[in-house]
Amino acid sequence: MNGGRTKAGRGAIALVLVTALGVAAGEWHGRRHASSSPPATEGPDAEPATATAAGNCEPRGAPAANAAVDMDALTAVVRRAVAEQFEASGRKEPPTEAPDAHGRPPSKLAPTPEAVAALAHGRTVVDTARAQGRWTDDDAEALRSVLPQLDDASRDEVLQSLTKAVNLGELTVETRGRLL
Amino acid sequence: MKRALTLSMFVAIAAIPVLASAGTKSSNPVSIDTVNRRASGSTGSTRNTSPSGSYIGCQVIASGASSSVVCSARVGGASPVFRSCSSSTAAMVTAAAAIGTDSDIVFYWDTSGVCSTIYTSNYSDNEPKAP
Repeated sequence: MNGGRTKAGRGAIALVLVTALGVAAGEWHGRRHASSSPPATEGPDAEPATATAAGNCEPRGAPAANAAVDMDALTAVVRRAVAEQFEASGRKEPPTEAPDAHGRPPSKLAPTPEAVAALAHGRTVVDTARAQGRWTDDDAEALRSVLPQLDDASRDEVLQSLTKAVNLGELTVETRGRLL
Repeated sequence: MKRALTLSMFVAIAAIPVLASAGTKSSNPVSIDTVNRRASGSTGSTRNTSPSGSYIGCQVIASGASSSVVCSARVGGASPVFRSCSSSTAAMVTAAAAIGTDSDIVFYWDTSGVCSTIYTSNYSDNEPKAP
């Protein structure tokens, strides 16, 4: 429902950013060009014809000072444009899409009912075993049947709840061999 | 009698170069350091020499495009110790997938049960599994 609107909004933001960058680059280039060009007229403010040795160390038209000013201006322009865009799209602030614990981007798709049910089942298997204080072959088999239906984040959650419980001694491993 | 002695001496002397040229052989049964959250051991040594019920290893669970690893170690005996960890990080899965028949394994875990490091060594000195 919101997807088209969000996409359009992102496209507009990208357009604004590109435009702002272009304007700022043009302005910067213009200033640089002006500062490195010889003065058009001789006068009290004109550059000396011969520079000192120290002066020669300074590259002509070095943009350091100008670049700092331009960056401030550019930042202001971009901030204003982004704020206007989000205001126009009805959002108070940009969406935050924080990565998960493993640095992976969050899933764009809503989990399917099957995935939700599988996660619930996986949690139940581990929680029931914890309540009983034992991890048996039947528990391992039940969890093995669920794991393929889980996405990475859900599988991490279930497996880590199991390994943490084992390491804390909340579960006595009674399987004939490995944990799973 | 004298002939037998001479023969045995000859065999012993002949065997010296063979023994001297053998490569390094190591034995590394499973051990678990619960303080530093570290488990280590080679699969061969653990199988051959550890107390009954001991093991170490990792398993890779792959489903579709995603995969996870679970590593476990158990030191058997009168007071068995068991530790385990899991991860879906690609680097961990890759390290676990490199474990071979007679690999030496070290894995670390954090307080959440997540594998933080997995070492897989496939050196020639690793003890092979006995039948």
